[in-house]
Amino acid sequence: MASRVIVMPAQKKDESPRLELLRSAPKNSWIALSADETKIVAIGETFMEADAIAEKSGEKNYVLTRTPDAWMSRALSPLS
Amino acid sequence: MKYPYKQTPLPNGKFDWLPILPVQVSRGSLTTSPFEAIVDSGSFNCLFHGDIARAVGIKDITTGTLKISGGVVKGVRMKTYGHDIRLVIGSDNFKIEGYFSDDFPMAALLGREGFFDKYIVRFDPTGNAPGFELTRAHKS
Repeated sequence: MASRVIVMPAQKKDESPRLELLRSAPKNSWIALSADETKIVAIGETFMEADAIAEKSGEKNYVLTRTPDAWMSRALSPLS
Repeated sequence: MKYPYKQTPLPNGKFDWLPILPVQVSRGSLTTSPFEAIVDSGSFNCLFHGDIARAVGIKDITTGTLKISGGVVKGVRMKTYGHDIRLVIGSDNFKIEGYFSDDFPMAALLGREGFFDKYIVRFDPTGNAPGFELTRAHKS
């Protein structure tokens, strides 16, 4: 994997550009973030749709992620 | 290898710092583009959204091994289905049984079986640049 540039806030309490991008993205969607996490290069209903749009955009080293139905703390554990 | 924690929104304008790792999944000749996975020692397995399975050619995730996962909140249940895949982390890759669900609200969680048995993970959420460090565990 190619090296990636991550924008780190100056202070731990400061918000990064990534945060506003995630808040503004549609819920229950796949999005592709630019390598520096300053822009959304693709949005799709499925992983493959967002991936295809991102690839077509020409953006290099993008990373896909999924937005949940609501932003909250979550925890899972196996039952069987 | 060191990675920075990343910010994730919480309700009411708050946010959290999470150990998020870019990973890929492969199966046969198919490999996904990189996507974000949360490093979560509280998760027994590595869990992925069902779309990741379809991206590597698993058309019907329910053909896999059924495992029920639940939240810490009583009554929350989620069916997950296990399939043999390869987890790709940077230049490293290895076979795991990944569990998939279309009800999974995020892209992926990296849990104890399939990730923490492969890497020694040192979390450091303190300071102004929180991060975590991975060291490959080579067990005989």
